[in-house]
Amino acid sequence: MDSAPRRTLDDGPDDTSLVQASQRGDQAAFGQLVRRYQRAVHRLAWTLTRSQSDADDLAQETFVRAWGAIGRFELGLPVYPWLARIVTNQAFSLFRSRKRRPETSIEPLVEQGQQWGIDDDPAEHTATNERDARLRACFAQLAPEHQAVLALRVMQDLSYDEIAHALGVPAGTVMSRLSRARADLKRRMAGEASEDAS
Amino acid sequence: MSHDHLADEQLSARLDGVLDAADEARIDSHLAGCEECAARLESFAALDGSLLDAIDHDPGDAYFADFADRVAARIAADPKGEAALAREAAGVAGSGGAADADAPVPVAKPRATNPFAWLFTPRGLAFAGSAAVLVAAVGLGVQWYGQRGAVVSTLAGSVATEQAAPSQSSDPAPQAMSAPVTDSMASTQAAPSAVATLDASAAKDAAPGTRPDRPAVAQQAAPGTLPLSPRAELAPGASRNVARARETERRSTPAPALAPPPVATSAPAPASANVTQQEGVAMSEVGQSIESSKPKATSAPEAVPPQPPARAKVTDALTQSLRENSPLGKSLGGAPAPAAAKRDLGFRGGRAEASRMSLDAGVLTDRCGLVRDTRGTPLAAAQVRVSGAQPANTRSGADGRYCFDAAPRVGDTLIELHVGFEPVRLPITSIATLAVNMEPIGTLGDKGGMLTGFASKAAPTPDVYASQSDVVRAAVTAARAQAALAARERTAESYEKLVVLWDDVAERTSGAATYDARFRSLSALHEAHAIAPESARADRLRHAIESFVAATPRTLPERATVLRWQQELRSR
Repeated sequence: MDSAPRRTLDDGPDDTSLVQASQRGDQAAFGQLVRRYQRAVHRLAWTLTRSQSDADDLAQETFVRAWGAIGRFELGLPVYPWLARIVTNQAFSLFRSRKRRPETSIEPLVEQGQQWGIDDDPAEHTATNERDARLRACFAQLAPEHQAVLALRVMQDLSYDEIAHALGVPAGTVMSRLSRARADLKRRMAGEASEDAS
Repeated sequence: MSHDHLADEQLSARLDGVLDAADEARIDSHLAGCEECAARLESFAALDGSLLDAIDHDPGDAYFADFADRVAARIAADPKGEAALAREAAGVAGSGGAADADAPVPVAKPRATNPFAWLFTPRGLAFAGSAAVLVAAVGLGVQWYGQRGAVVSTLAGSVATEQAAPSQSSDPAPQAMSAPVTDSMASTQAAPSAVATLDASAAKDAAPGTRPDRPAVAQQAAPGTLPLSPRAELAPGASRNVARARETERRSTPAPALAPPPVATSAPAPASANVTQQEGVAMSEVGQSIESSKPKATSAPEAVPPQPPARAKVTDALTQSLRENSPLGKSLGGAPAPAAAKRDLGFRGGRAEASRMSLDAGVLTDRCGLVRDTRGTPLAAAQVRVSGAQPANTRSGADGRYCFDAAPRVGDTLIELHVGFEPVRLPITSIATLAVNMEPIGTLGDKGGMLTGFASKAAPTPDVYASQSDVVRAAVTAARAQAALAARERTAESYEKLVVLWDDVAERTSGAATYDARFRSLSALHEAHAIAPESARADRLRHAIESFVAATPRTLPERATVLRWQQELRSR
């Protein structure tokens, strides 16, 4: 598996140069990293929280912490798994602190639009598809670790190695965790879900 | 599950294409002969695909246009960024117990106690965007003005004077699993020390009593004394130590520590009295501006030092210098410089990020293809999957090209994934054109005004799919092309392909569109059956008709046709 950047395309320097510059205190370089990965980070945060406000907070906080920790980043390693790790750890903390899993349903999109001043079409995002809604509900019931591994693999297309890095577990664990997550999700979708799988 | 069948883990790994060649061959040979396992694999693949559809969200370009600004403002104003390092590092330590210690400090919670948090709330943003920019701007000005004074942390520090107590208490260093005692001491005591330092530099008469200076602690926690492993983030214990050391380091030394977390060596910032003085001015200015613009400050008032004279003048100078000189001003916000904005995609100027991925039309020859964005730049490391009877998985190389071992077959779906890009799904058809009309991630359409060039409603098509996403409409286009082909060829095979394509459309849509797609799929199957009436096909048709009748409203005009087919089928 390669370790190519998971980023929004731009013409800028490669990640390593930007990290290096950031480590020297170059805020412009860090700003470029932020813009490069903001979508991926936000997407992961949203997948794990399915709440706009939480995702917003997590995504921003991820970069705040990344800035704080950039000095410890080992040059040459892929940037995104490192960011993903910060996201998932925050999300796990959030879950635990709330003593519950993230909300099943997404926030009312109309409100979101108002909140953000985004004149978006709610219908575009709202679960019009029953199956999608069901899938979201089932996904939300998965153990946070299973959600995370699915999010990283399916939604974010990270390699097993990168997921291992992002979750801080061995690659073998990624493999087994992924298969359990998929099987659990499939079972829940089939309606055989038990409530205790966590 | 019988022992003869493949385990979930094998299927899962096969789906992800992570098996070595021998295992993969073994599993594939099993799959070839075992319908049950093949179906399970397909269901995993389908689940993956559905997840992508169901659980994906992009707040849109407007959200991201100033995302970096908000991060910058947050870094500038939020001491949590530093205080949270220890927590983050603890969390980073892994999914094990260390993270539990993290739990009591919910990520969102500190907002409640942060007097500046409102700046970063969605509602506050529109309202207070200018204030946030001012924070950054002043900070940046300081940096320039103070000649590498290293601003963001300066501001973090200055705000930290207000925040020290809360952030300290909310960062209780409970995760003491393996953390040495000195570590926790540093963590709990360094903050006051830094506060004192900063206060001293900011204003001579800053609240004295509550902040004992503790140089000894600061020394104890000096970076050299703790392991600064380059892979610190991977080492649970060490990373915490490092985080604290960093935090302490930054908090306990005024100027050099102001340069971000990093190895500040390349930015030697001698804490000359002059610089410090300027910082003091700027900090109080920030405090003032925020103080005056925020509705209610819940923090300790003494944290805002008395205003030195000539504040306004300094601010002007700072702002001016920011406009002209600050690199961050160009990139993170503040005053966008055209030259920088030109390069910085997704920048505040409303430029869309090049977040579209597309297949190069016609380049997918046989088994190879090219992934690139809409600007034509090849995309490396995109994952390309074939979803179908023979799932395959590969990645594009540095030149954006990829090849499968075998050509995808008609009826398969090609899925391209790349973080930051909208996933592409492309049904493989026999038609030559593989152009995909991609939906940029988070497009706002016409209304957003950000992506006028890509607006999904730009091309009015008076059909039920007009309002669908570009991805869906691409699928519809493919299906229609196949329909035309099938009408010419009049073979069961081409109609079968058509069935698959319309099923794909039906899966992605709802309401009228899905009814239409389902009906077209059914029609194609009916046509295929008419051309080559095999019993298996008849069974499928029967089943498809039943599910169509079950799933569509009674008022649907097409139902009459379908019911007629059902009658015909029964009478045979």
